[in-house]
Parts: sequence; C-alpha cells; structure tokens
Amino acid sequence: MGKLNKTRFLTVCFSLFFLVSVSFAATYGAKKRRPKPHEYGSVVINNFSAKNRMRPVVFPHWIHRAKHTCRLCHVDIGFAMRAGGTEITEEDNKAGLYCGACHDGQQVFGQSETNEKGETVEHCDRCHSYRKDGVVFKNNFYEFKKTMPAGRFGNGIDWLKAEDEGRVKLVDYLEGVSIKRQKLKNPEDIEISAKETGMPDIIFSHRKHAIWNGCELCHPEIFGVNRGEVRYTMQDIFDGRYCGACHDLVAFPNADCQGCHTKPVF
Amino acid sequence: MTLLPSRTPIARDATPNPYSDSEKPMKRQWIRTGTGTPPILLGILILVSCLLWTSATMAEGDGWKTDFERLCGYTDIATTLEPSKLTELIGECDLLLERLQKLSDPKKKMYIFRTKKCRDLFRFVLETKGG
Repeated sequence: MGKLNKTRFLTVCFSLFFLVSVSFAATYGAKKRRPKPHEYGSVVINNFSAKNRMRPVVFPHWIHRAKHTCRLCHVDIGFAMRAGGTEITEEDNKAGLYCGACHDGQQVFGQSETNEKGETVEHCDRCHSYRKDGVVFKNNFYEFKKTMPAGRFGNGIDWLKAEDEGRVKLVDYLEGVSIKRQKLKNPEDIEISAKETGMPDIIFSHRKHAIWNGCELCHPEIFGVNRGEVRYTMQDIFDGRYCGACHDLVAFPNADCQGCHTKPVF
Repeated sequence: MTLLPSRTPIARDATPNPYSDSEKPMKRQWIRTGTGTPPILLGILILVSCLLWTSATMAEGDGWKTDFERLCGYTDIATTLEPSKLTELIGECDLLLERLQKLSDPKKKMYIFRTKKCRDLFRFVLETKGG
C-alpha cells in the first residue's frame, strides 16, 4: 500500500512538473538564433514580391542608419514601424514614395541605369536579394565596421559613440519630403527605477532619442502612456513592445543591460 | 525688268488648278463641308478641360500641402503649446485628413500617414496635460 502511495505521489509530481514546464515554455518561447553583425537590423519585406514572382527585399538597416536619422524614414518618408506595415508597391516607388524618395537613380541607385556603353543595367537584385547568391552590393559591412567604434552587441558598432565622434553624420532633412520644423525643445531625461533588486536604475536619454526620432515616432504609437501610468516589464520589451520596438531589432539589443541600466549604484 | 510672281487673285485664277473638287486636300474639304467642326470643338473642349483640371489640381495641391507643413511643423514644440492650441491643431488635422482622403494624388497615402502621426502626437500631449 505504501509503495502504491509513493508511486501516486511521484506520478502527481511529474505531472505537475510537466504542466509547469509547458506553461513556461509557452510564455518564453523558443530560443532565437542570434543574427550575424551584418544581418542585425535587416528586415525582409515580402508584401507583394513573392506574389509577383520576385525575391523578397532584404532591407539592410545598418547602411541606412549610418546616414539618416530614424525620423527621416519613419516619419517624413512614412515607413511604418512594424515590418511589412507600409505595404510598399512598385508603383509607390516609381511615384517617388518610400524607397523611391531616395532610390531614384539620381540621389542613389534606382531600378535601372545606363552604363558608359549605353546599356541598361537593372538593379532589381540589389534590393530583391533574399537568399540570392552573388549579388554585388556597393557597401561592404565589414569594411565599414572597421572605421567605427566597436560595440559589444548587435552590429558590433557603438552607434552613439560613432555619432558623438563625428564618424557618422546623420541627415534629417530630405528636400521635397521633409518639412521645416520649429526648433526642438530638448525634453528632460527620465529616471526609471528598475524593479529587479540589485539592477541599476535606467537613465532614459530623452534628448538623444528625440534628436534621432522626433516626438511623433514614439508618441503615442510606441509609448502611448503617461509616465508611470502603465508599468511595463522586461518581458514586454523582449516581446517587442515599448523599448523593444527598436531595441533588439535595430538599436542595441536587450542583452546589453548596461546600455539602459546606467545609473551609478554608489 | 523681272516679273515677280503675281499674288493678285486675278493671277491666281489664271493659274490652272491642279486639283479637281473631289481631289482637294482633306483640310479644305472639312472647312467647306463643315465636317471638321466637331473635331475642332472637341479639341477646344479637351483643352479647356485640361486647363481647368490643372488649375484645380494646383490649387488643391498647394492648399493641402501648405496646411500639412504648417500643422506638422508644430510637432517639435507640441509640449510647449497650450491645451486650447492643441485642440485647435487636432481639429485642423482632422479636416486636413478629410481633404487628403479625397485626393487623387498617389502621394496621399504617405501624407495621410504623416498627418495621423502629427494629430496623434497633439492628442497625446493634450492628454498628458490633462486636457
């Protein structure tokens, strides 16, 4: 009898353990593959490409962020913050919208150009490059990286330092697209207390974020809450909400705790 | 003394006409018979329509773009604005959105997105201020 009770007890324990494991697995998901430095921030756009028998577009964030502020593309040109949310069409580009605002064959390469021999050279595969070998890109990430201050995560580039040192100069105005704004009033930095014991508090640089993003990129789409009104957790951020809308996708990843939890403890 | 070719009607009449009535060029025939009137009128009508459409489009284009630039120009100083001004801006953005929806310009998609962003920011700031 005692042996039977012991077996029952063990069965119940195993069942409970199994149920708890499954519920936690559903919450935290599977482990993601860490992208290579040149892939970090890249977005695959496939709203219409595959339907039109084209390879999806691989958008390299690194070369674009090395030249432009986030606001120029995500506010002025109108790229949605959610991948695939803009629903860019070929006609849009030809009308000078979205990619076509710069990729017009004059500012930067367009869909095609005429070479010195008078031949038309198509550039389709420079954007529609998903899983395509042998595409010749103008910019080499690893050559570029050598000229930048090293970062520990993401692209392996410390973008903040790169800008502070003047190694990248970010364009914030595109003629015919951007509007002339009144001078930005620098918002104050915000101190956010960490809920985890022993974790330093966060000093949120409102100034730095506002210079790159403006106000309307984050408010209210990403941060539609008044300060302290809604408490968000690291899990929300890992799931791509709040800070996670950029951090872990393009801006330095969440693994770089010291990027945000910067307040000196002593 | 050299005789210049005469341009008087008498001299022209004296020259034998190389065309018989049936062989005259088409152009002369429509003027004479009146068959050319509808195409000419149609052409004038198309020209006038084009001019009206162009002027209407230009007037419409200038208007909404100026308003868009003026309204969204406030985004960087939105936090410094009074609630009454923010309310006014939200109202103007809503009106602008209605106008943008009616446009046939292929760029309207982008401007609708941008105007919504500006309006939502003004609303957010207004709510933050307790308005």
